[in-house]
Amino acid sequence: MEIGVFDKRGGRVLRFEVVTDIGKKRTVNEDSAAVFAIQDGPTLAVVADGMGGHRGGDYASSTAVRILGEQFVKVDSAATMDEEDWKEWLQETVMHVNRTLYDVAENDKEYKGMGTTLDAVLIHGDKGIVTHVGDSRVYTINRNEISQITKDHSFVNILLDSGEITEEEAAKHPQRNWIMKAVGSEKTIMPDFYQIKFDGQTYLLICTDGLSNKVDNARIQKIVTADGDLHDKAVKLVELANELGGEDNISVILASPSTSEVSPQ
Amino acid sequence: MIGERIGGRYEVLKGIGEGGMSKVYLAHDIILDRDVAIKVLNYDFANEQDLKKRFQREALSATSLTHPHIVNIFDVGEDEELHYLVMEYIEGQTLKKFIQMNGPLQVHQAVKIMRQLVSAIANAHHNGIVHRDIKPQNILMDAEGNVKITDFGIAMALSATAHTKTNSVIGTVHYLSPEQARGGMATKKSDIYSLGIVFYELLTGELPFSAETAVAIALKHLQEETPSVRLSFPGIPQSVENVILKATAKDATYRYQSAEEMYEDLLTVLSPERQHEEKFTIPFDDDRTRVIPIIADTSKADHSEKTKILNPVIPDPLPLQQKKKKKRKKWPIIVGLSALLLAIAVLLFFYWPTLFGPKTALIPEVVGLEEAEAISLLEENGFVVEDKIEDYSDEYPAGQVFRIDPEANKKREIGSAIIVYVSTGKETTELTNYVDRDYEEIVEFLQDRGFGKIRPEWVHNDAPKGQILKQTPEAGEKVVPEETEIVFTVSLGKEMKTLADLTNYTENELKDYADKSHFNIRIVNRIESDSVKEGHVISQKPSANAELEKGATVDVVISKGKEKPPVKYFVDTVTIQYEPSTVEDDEEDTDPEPQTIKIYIQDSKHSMTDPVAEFTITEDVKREITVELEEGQRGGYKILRDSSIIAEKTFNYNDAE
Repeated sequence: MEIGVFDKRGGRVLRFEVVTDIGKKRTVNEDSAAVFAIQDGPTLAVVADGMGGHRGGDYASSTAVRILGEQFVKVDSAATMDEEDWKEWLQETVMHVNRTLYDVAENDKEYKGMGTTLDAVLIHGDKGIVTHVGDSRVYTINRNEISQITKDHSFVNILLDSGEITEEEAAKHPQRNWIMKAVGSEKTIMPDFYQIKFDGQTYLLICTDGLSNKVDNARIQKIVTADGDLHDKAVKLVELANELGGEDNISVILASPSTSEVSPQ
Repeated sequence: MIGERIGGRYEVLKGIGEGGMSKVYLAHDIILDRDVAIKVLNYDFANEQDLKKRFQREALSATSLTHPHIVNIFDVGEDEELHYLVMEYIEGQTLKKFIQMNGPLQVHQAVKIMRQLVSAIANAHHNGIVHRDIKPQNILMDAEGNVKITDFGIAMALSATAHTKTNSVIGTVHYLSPEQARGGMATKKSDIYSLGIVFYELLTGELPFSAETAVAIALKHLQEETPSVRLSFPGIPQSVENVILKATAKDATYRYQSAEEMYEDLLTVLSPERQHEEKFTIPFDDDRTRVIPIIADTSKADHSEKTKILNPVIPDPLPLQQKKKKKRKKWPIIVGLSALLLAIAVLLFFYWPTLFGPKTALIPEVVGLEEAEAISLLEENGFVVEDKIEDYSDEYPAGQVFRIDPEANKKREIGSAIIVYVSTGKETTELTNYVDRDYEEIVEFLQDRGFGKIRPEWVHNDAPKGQILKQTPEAGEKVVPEETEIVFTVSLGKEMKTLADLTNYTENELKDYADKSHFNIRIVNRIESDSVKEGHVISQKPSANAELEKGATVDVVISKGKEKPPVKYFVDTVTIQYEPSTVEDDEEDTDPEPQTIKIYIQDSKHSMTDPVAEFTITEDVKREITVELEEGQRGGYKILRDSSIIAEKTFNYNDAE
């Protein structure tokens, strides 16, 4: 899928590629990913990695993405909303998604224990607001560096932060799939927020742990910043994760900066 | 699931528990006729062959464990998508629930539970199995208050999946050792740590480390010292607290070296001389090999009575002696003090003759002695028989001690507790009812369970072949499999007989055969036969040599003899003339004198001896005479008028065209 985002003057700002793959071992793809755009307004890119319950993981992630998208395109005052307004809107919408999923999980045995990670990036001009719950990740990548914007809400990451374990121990930790925060698994939730700024050289990558557990930062950076087609890059990331085992579902949203590969309107 | 049958033999009766990855049901094993608990894994192993293998390996290794305080695993199976474990069904509750209802427990009660748990874990470790997930939720308690550990290795085997887990399914980290929190391998020492946390919970009714999230709890396990139980419960002896502190040392090096060591510590932990023990601390020492627990060297009281003597008035003799040495210079005071000490010493000696005797003694060998004999011998040697466990023993007859813990010939402090295992004889198995079941199936089943001598007695019966009709010994009897001969009366089915070849039997012979064979012989048809003489059997159904049940019906066909060629008819029309007498002929008008005519026929139906017709005539008469001849017959007719033959003719069957 390819989506172009245009600024008010009609110039192309960002192009997006969305790839989600079941991986090699799973029977269900519990990831969901999508990009939503409002004419003359901001763009919303969402990645969710669902978990738990009988069919709950699938349901949780797709519902989260769907509700965010529905709410987003319904926003009528988009033109007048500033960054603070959008942040507030994101927070409220994530809390709404959380409540919706939590209620379903409470009332339906089939969905008991479900939850989902949620990473949504709202791109507004050259600024981005990142909202984050769980262990999916948002990166900004250019030729000089790859920076992980979000902090995993994972068991091992907290141990790592506290200095109790080393990076090596974290990478092999049997509980590295434990996450401490997920949308839909607790009654209330407070997502993390981050701000990012785009320049003409920076790519945006949102991915699930199916990619980040398999492919290290250096290789991600190399693939993303290489010359070539954006779609091929996104597919290459997924393929590499599969080559390295593909135990989990893999989802990637990759956005290219405006100056690269711009075809004049 | 309820009402379904799993693995062809376990009928699911009701749900009894639910965990993050499994559900437990009460089920009935229809083969062994007993209740079992079935743990059904709530997990899709499709595409996860490694994990499935790992789970099965762990579960199977746990089936090898037999211990009075370990839940027996009978079977590991899969039924289509279902993966399940069949376990001993314990009617009771989890230890978690028990603590919630009854915690904090009395010290002696907590120690008793811990001894059972630690002995079970020591047994598992001895067999090379690490539990990895010891927690009161995995410990069951029966109505008598005895505990049994379950879920060896399984929970952790399953948690190794790559599936992301949220707080709600993570499971508890309250009992997780620091090395496990760090992601390291769970070792025997990790089990010891978890046991220490369980002990803490038993004594206080609370968890030592709690926080809102799993990770916060894990961090506390890594960073905070185990809180003191004596802080909230000063009545708990220091020796008891020390067990927790030693078991839960952050650095595994400082923990008990083995569950066995922990168990032995627990055996004496309540002995009075240990109650003022110093608090356990991690030795401050760079050289880790010299880690020696600090246990005050105190003298021991001998318990010649069975009751435990707790006498806080008795001072520790050793510190007194040390004092005496140090203060030797101060004679004037010392004399008085010595005298007092002497008096105390004499007093002590009087009551506790061995007070100044050896502090330790060798545990005597009592295995093989009768229970009472063994107990008194142990007590004579200064030990306390703290618990008596009855269990099966293959080697020692019922009533004899077959094991003691600690073992004989070990040096132990006088007054320390010893557990005596008394044999109840060989392990018996209760026979269930096998009547109506298939003999072959049951033989295989029983052989698997150690029954070596199984003998069938075959009888004919209406029951299908192979069905057991009677068993000796009867259901409900408790027997030792190796020593028991089981005799099954087994149905051969109905009695079968071989059917004779009845061809050519006469009807009389058939009757005799029917009487002899008890077959029900029916003549269903009589037909002509070229080869079989009339009255003899031509054919039978079933055919000869068939195996038939007694009383079965046999249909036979009997011969009517050869098929006859058609009868031929010879028909002659004869005119029998009236011939008046020629003697007197003058009176014309006299009536004609009647003449007697006799017709004789010789054919298949008539003979010449009697006339077939006799009549008188007074004029000429026409008669039709029919001669009926069978194949090969000859025949004819003869007509007599009065006494003279007036017509005669013979026919031959073969003459006819």
